[in-house]
Amino acid sequence: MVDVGNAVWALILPGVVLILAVATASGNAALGARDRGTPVHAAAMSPFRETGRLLRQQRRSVLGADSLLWRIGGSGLIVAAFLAALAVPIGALAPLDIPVGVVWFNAVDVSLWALWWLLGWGGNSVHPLIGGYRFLAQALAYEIPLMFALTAPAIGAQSLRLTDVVTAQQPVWFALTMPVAFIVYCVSVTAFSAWGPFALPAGTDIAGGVLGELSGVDRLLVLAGRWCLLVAGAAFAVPMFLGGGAGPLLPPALWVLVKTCALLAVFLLLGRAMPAIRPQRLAELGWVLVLPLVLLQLLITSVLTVMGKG
Amino acid sequence: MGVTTDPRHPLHLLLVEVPGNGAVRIGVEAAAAAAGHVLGIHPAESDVLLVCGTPGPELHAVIDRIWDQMPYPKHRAMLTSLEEIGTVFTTSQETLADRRAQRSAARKVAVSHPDGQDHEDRGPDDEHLNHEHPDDADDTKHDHDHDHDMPMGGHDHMSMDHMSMSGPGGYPLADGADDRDGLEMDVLHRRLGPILPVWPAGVVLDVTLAGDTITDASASMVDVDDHGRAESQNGAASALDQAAQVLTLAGWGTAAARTLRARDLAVTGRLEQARERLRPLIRRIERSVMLRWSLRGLQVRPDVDVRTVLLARLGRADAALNGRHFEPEPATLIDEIPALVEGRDIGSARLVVAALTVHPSRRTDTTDQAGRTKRHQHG
Repeated sequence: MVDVGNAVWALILPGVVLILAVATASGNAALGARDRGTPVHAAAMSPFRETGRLLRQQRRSVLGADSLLWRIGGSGLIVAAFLAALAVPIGALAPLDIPVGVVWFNAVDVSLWALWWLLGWGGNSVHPLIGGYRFLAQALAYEIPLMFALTAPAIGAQSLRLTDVVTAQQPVWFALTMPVAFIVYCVSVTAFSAWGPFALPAGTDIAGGVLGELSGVDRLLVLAGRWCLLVAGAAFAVPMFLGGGAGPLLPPALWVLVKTCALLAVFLLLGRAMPAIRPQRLAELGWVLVLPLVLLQLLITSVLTVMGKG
Repeated sequence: MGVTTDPRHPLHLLLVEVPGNGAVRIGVEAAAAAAGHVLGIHPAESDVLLVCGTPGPELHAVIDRIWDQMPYPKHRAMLTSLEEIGTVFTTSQETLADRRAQRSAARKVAVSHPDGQDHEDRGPDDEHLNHEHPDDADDTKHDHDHDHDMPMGGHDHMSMDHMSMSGPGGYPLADGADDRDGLEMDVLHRRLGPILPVWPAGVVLDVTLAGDTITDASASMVDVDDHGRAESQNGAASALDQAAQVLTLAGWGTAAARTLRARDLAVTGRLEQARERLRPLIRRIERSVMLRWSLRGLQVRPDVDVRTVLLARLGRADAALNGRHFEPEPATLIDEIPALVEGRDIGSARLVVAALTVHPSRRTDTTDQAGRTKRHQHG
């Protein structure tokens, strides 16, 4: 019975992720329109209109582009987002309840290095190439802290299985007991989605960067993939740091959804409030400040875990 | 601005500002925002190419190349005064909606460029002026000869099996040169401008890039003979426009959008509202620790960095809106730009250029500079 439920959920999961991605994009556009003083209602509808426009638009190719690798980079982002979301347990359902769920997410996140880079490099064009460089510079800064941040809940639960991590958060969420790891995780999610203060790989100063040469359905896939990554990152934070489906009154599945949406809203509001961080500055921040802090977090978590056991 | 266009079909406009037409460009941006249209930052994502002003021959050639790089459906138009803007928007929407004409135009281009050499290129702002461009600009509207029902694709002529020169697509491979750390790095020659989002109108910067670092640069203006005049940069609207450019390049979309909103209010005469919105915005930008940190070390002049220029522009706008006296921003001559950008990464260089008020004349008008520009075109 649970197996059937898991299979059905795995099939409708991409749809749910896409709905959340559209809602996030729509909210972002509406907030942008409010700042700019343009019609808010029209902006809120813009993800739908943009989808329609891009589906009708001519696909574009660039002379000398490595089309295969370029298209792999472009279409891989959305697939990576679905794969990451698959590991999130929803109440009794956990389509991918493997013993190394945390490592699974980490593997997907590392694949983003290749995907964003191929997207920048494959187009044989200077500005996207620089966008690719920028993503790699950014990834160098966030990846190691992110890996340690993912380790903290695993140490706290003494398991890499996500259902165990959820169980270990009764009654106190890991977001409260390991705040540094939680913050580093959230920042890294916006960074691997190349969004908010980490959007310079697709920056206006390099004419759209990795997005620069894309039109039509290729562009649609990348834009959708980027929002889906943000959604998947928020959803994965729920079992890792926010107690999974635990909560009063509502069923667990609904709590996962509510917590995901709440985290997405926080991403939107905070991400829009700050200027971009230049990738070269980010490396300094990531290695000199954040890495020691997250290691300290790990040390404290480890000591507390051992003492709790002993 | 009383523009009535169908809000269900927002246009993605790629604006080209002909030097001396900043006021027209700002007016178009304000009208576009009011009507819910979107500004594109790259030909690939845009469907309307809108030229503000009358371009000279050199800029015109670049505009044709950009047009070639835009995917169908597309439309292009030129306007010299803001009175025409409503008509331009409605005409654009009608032309884009005419799928039959768009398809036949897409097909015609595919047939007339069998080798794809002209059609696809490496970016919005690199140009090969000696290429031929059959001017198929307005074919979209008139050409109904080809009724073949072909999907919008039209890109399948880009097969590269017949290109067997040294590098991909017949382009030579990048040169190598020593980077700062002594390791060899690919070197690319690239032209920034004259058509680039958030870029001083008409300025062309030929750069040599090692990775994303500019190792060598030379600057010039397009159509030098046509216009040696600088537009007057006074008033709240232009100060806010310049401030928004810095904020956009700094990647702070929210602050840039609010600044542009204040600019649009000022330009449409709603000064009271512009004043009210500007004060809290200035305080917020002044207080931002992240902006200070992100713009650190970007010197424009001795003791003046990009952040100082940004705050000065906002202060100037505030003074203009409140009828106080303010000093205009000192202008930078075009041949002073290379020294300011060499050794910087492209993002920092863009910020520094955005913090300049570029004057189109040179300190010493030498033919050497012009000759240098020519040599860089095919680097």
